[in-house]
Amino acid sequence: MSKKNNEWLNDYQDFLNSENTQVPKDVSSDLMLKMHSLINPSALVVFLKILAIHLVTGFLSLSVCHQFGMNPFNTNYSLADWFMTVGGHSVCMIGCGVTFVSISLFAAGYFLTVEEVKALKRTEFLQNLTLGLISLGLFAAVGAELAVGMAGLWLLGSLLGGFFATLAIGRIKLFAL
Amino acid sequence: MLINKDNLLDEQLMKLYQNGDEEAFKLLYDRHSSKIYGFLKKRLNSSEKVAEVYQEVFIKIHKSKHLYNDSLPLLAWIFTVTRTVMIDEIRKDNKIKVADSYDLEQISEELEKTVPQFEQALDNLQHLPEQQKAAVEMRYLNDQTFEKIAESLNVSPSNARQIISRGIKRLRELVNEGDKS
Repeated sequence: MSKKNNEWLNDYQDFLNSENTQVPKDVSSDLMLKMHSLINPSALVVFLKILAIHLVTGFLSLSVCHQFGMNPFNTNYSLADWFMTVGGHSVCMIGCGVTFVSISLFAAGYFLTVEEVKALKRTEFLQNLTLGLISLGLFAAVGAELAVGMAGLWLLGSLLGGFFATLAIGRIKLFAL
Repeated sequence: MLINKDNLLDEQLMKLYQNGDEEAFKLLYDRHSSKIYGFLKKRLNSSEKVAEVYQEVFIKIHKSKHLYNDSLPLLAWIFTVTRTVMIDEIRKDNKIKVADSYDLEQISEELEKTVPQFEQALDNLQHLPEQQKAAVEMRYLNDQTFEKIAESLNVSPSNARQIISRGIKRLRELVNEGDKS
């Protein structure tokens, strides 16, 4: 056995023999507080993380799916055109909402921890609704013309996209373990 | 169905903890925290440092829990994380003198095993070339780190290690020669 392995084994033995050491109460309680916050992250912090990712991903997604006619990358092809051809205005609005929010949530899912995904699932509706409303607000702020009916359909799409994306992220993250 | 988690094996609890189960974490904590604390307490010289590294160990366990593979015993994995964090922390902390303690212990042990007359070996220091003598003195008499020694001798840390190693080898030879005569 190599010297390093021997050293490791001696240390391991020593580790096992330390069983009766008392952990000071203040050290233990400080640690438990810290671990509690890591295992139960705040839904607001999770939302802010998702929002930050959404701002970048949502903007980039405009290159493949123009929202409310916005085409900052001047691309010729858009999923919105396909939605329009397939099902007209209503399908286009819902499809665009689904695409816009779900792409961002999938991207966010890559960066979120299991605990954060759980926090997202706990507050799923609120998170998705807020994300959709903020997105609509930003579109309006940069000059998109939003009709109430169309915006409502888009919001519905974003909620659906958020729901399915959250479901998928939860399954991938939890079953991946 | 309610599961009585108290009866679960460490590896099963870890699986639950990997899925964000706080109760599973608490059970694992109750089972093994004293081992981690005791191990650190024996190796670190201040209770503040022990508390700091202890917390770091659990944060590291939390952050890398998804890397744990349940085909391996959990306790050995926890120990490996503990030991790695402790060594990293010691290396990071220049104020604590036990930096390089593993190297120091390793070399000292080797020295004490192969050269029983350690003091006699130190008496032979004067027979070493000037640079080797200074390096061995700084390392074993003044307890300086390799980085500090390298700085004093104006060489790289790996060169400093080599110089010390050669010095020890020479000391050993001198002692052996002394024993024969």
